[in-house]
Formats: sequence, C-alpha cells, structure tokens
Amino acid sequence: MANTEISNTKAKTFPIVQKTNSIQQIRYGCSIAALHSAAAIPGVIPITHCGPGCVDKQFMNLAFYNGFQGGGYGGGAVVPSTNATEKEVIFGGAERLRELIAASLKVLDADLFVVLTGCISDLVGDDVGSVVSEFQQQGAPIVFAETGGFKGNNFIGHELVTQAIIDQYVGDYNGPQEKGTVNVWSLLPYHNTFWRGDLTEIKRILEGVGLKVNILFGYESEGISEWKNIPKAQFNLVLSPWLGLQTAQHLAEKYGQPFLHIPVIPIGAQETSAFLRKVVEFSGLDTAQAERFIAQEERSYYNYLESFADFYAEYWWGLPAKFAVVGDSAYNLALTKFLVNQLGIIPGKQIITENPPEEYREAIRQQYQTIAKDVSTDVEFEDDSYLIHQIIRQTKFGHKPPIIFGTTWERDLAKELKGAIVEVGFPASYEVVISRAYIGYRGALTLLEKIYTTTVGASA
Amino acid sequence: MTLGAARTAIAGMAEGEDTTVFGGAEDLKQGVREAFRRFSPKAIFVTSSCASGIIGDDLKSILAEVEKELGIPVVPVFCEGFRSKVWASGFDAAYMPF
Repeated sequence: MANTEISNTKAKTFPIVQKTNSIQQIRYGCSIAALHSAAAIPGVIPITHCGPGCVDKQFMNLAFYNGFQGGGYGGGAVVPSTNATEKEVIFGGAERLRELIAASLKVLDADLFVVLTGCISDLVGDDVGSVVSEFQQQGAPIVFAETGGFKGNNFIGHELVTQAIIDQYVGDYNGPQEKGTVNVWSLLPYHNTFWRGDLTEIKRILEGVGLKVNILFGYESEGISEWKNIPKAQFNLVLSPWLGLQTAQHLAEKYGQPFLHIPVIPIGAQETSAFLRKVVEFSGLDTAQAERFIAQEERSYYNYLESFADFYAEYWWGLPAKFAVVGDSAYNLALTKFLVNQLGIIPGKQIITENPPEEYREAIRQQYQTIAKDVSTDVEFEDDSYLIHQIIRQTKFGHKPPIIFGTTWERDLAKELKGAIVEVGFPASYEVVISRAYIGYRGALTLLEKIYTTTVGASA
Repeated sequence: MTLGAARTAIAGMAEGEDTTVFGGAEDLKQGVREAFRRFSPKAIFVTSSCASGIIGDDLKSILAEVEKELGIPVVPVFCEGFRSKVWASGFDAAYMPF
C-alpha cells in the first residue's frame, strides 16, 4: 500500500491513505432512521422495537441538528419504543413488543402505525411479523419493516418502509387506473433538509401542468388515503438518481404501473421546464395547458433573474468561479446541473456521500459526464469525511477560493481553504429550515439568494 | 486522554451484514490501526454497540492484541444500548477504565 504525500497551499503534507473501513463524520443514519419516512406521512406514527436511545439518536441526527426540523405529529418524542434491555436480548422481545403495540393503539391516535425493528430484534430473531399480524388480523392499521441498523443506511431503510406499507397496507388492486394521476417518489424525508418546501414546490408545478399528484410525504400530502390510491395512479414518477427505483419496479410488478425515471431533480427554469415537458409527454396530457403554465412560471422567474443579473454582472469584489458539491446524489446532481448550466460556475469536485448501491453508480456517473452540452465532469463516491476532505484539499480551485456546497462537516475545511460554504444537506446544523425550498422555479431563486448572500457576506 | 487542552477525535466503523454474520474482529483491529495512523493519539477508547454485543465479539482480547501492537492504551468501553435505559450509564462505563 503506497502512501503518497501531497501538499496544499499551506505547504502542509497530508499522506493519502487507501480506502479503509473507517468512517469519520458520517453523512447518513442507520436503517432504523427510516422511522422518519413513516413520520413524514401525515397521520402515521412509527413504533420502534429497538434499544433505548436509538430513536432519540436518529431524531437528533436527522430532525434536530439538521435544519432543526422538529418531529411533527408522529415523530420526535412521540415515537414509542420497546427500549429493549438485556431481558429482551436473552429471552426475546416479542412479548414486550406486543405490550407496546397494544398500549400505542390505546393511547395514540394514528391512521397507520409502522413498526420498525432495530439491531437487537433482528439479531436475536424476534418474530415481529407474527406479533404484528395478530394486530393486523384484528383490523388494526399497522405494518412492520425489518430495519435493523446493520441492513444499511437510512436510504435503504426508506424503501423497506415504503414497500412494507405497499404490501401490507395498500394490498392488492385490480381496478382501473386514472389518467393524469401520478405518484411521486423523490427526496428522502428529513434527511434531505429542505424536503418539505421542496415537495411542496414539486407538487405545485406538477399540478400546474394538469396532473393530480400523490406527493405521499409532507404537509401537502393527504396522508394514507394517498397511499391507498397509489395503485389507481396512471404512473409512478421516480424523481431522484436512484432512491425509489426499487419501489417503482415493485409497483410495476404488483399493479402493472409504468414508471418514469428522471434522475435530475430540477432547479431553475431551464431544468424545471424541461422536466415538466418530459412528464407531460410521458403522461399524454394536454400540452397547451402545460405550456401556458410553463410560460407563466418562466416569465416570473426571469423577471426576478433579470434584476439579479445587474448584481451578477457588476459585483466586482469577486464571485466564486469554481465550486465543489459534497452530499447525497439527489442534491449533488441537481445542484451541479443548475450551477453549471444556469450560473456558469465551473465544477471543481463532486463527491457523492450516501453510498448508493453499486448497480446505480454507472448511470449516475453518466449524468455528470453529460452535465451540459459542453461540460463533462467526474463524480466520486466516498462516505468517509477524512478522505473526502483530503480529496477537496487536493483539488485545484484556481486562484479564487472555492464555494463548497456541503454540510456542517465541511465548515472547518471551508475556513481552512478560505472559501465559502453553503450547507445543503445532512447534517445542516447551522441552518434553521421551515418551508424553504431549493428545488423548482421558486426554490432556485431562494437558492441564489442564499449563495450570494453567503459570498457577499464573507467580506463583512 | 490528557486533561486541559484535550484533543479528542471520534471515528466509527459501519457494521454491515457481513460483520454481523462472520464477526467483526478483523474489521475492528483495522479500525483501531487506522485511527492510530490518522490521529497519533495517546490512547484509544473503543465503545461497543448492541450489534457487536449480541454477536459476541470478544472486545477485551481483540483490543489487548492491538494494544500490544500499537504500544498505547486501547481500552474497551462496554456500553451496548440494551445494558441500561439510563443514558448516564454510558458515561459511567466510559469512566470505568480510569
């Protein structure tokens, strides 16, 4: 194993080490953090069968020190847990779980309960399925997903939860499908810090072109009635580089629904209008209405941008020329596309951090290689912050300091490189996020405000 | 761990399905060696999780081997989640080695 030394501008040397199994400053939660995917559906409460503290930990990770989003109706401190002790490890936790579910049904009001398991239960082999089915047979609205932490990270857990709800709650369907209705599988709730505002914008623009939208998660969702209607939709839209593909494939097998996969979540008019046209074409909707909506949105968007152009062209104290994006593939790709195509900033380094399954990586790489007509760039997959920071330190950003789109883990690094930082993903511990969106037509303008406020403020 | 201007670093290792099925001894040793390589610490504390506790990795003897190899204290802290519902028990477990 050769150790090569590289130097940064401060003439410090950093030995580069090969990929190891160590991970510093992690960028995802374990599988049970997908309890947030359940809590993100209005009226749904997750019930966790895990050790004492797992839920607190994942809540603090995803929904507190990440935009201070809060738990909402069914998350945070509401979530019941078996708080498994040595007794459950040795004698099994089925009885404790049965007791907890019965109590939860009595005390909590929810349209659906989703039981998630942790490491302990999955390792000692608790038959959670049979405990839950006792309650299912009594007509209780409850499903279960085996999300022991070692199964993978919360991206993997998310699709375990969605499929559990589809298989155990939505069930079979043999009826007709409604033209013009779409199910949207997109951002990872809570993990993607701006998911609430983003999903609101995505729903708004899809409705604008004439679709009826099951957004499934977030405040604009009707809750489980939308989930019950999943099989009636004309098609599924997977709006992300890879998350949701497995669910869409499952729905294709189960209900015969086609799906449209659009890897780039649109930011800005160019990408958003193109996105809407692709969806309209796939669904066979009336293009006249769609074009009217797009024209209206673009008129408004470019009015704002026209005024912004004075600043962009004239601000002579220096704006960043090169950027780095460090984050999950969804935001990483969306941002890179926007920054290159609509702002003309040069891609310096892109690092995807959520450890996407190997089978999706080549397609993701292709997206970066065709990021613009005349721009092709590479993307690396790395989840160890130690290595990520080494990679960024080695990157040549030219004589201007870089702008880094990353997370709280990049703050010290940005200071070191005398660059600017915009926190766009987990963990975003220095952002308070309520309804802010960075996606779509409206989100792009908010994002521009954030970027340039940051760079202008750097000299204050 | 020195008091006063203490500088501590935290690193972790993701335990996947392979480690839960086959055991994590080798991964653990590599993790400890890597932490030593990255930080040149004066001591390393290794905290255990529910998963490693149930699988039954023998932390004491695995870490004793690495301690001999590295020449600094490499100390296990037995704080599997299921040991207690009281958060502070973990702190007590961490102070035990002293």
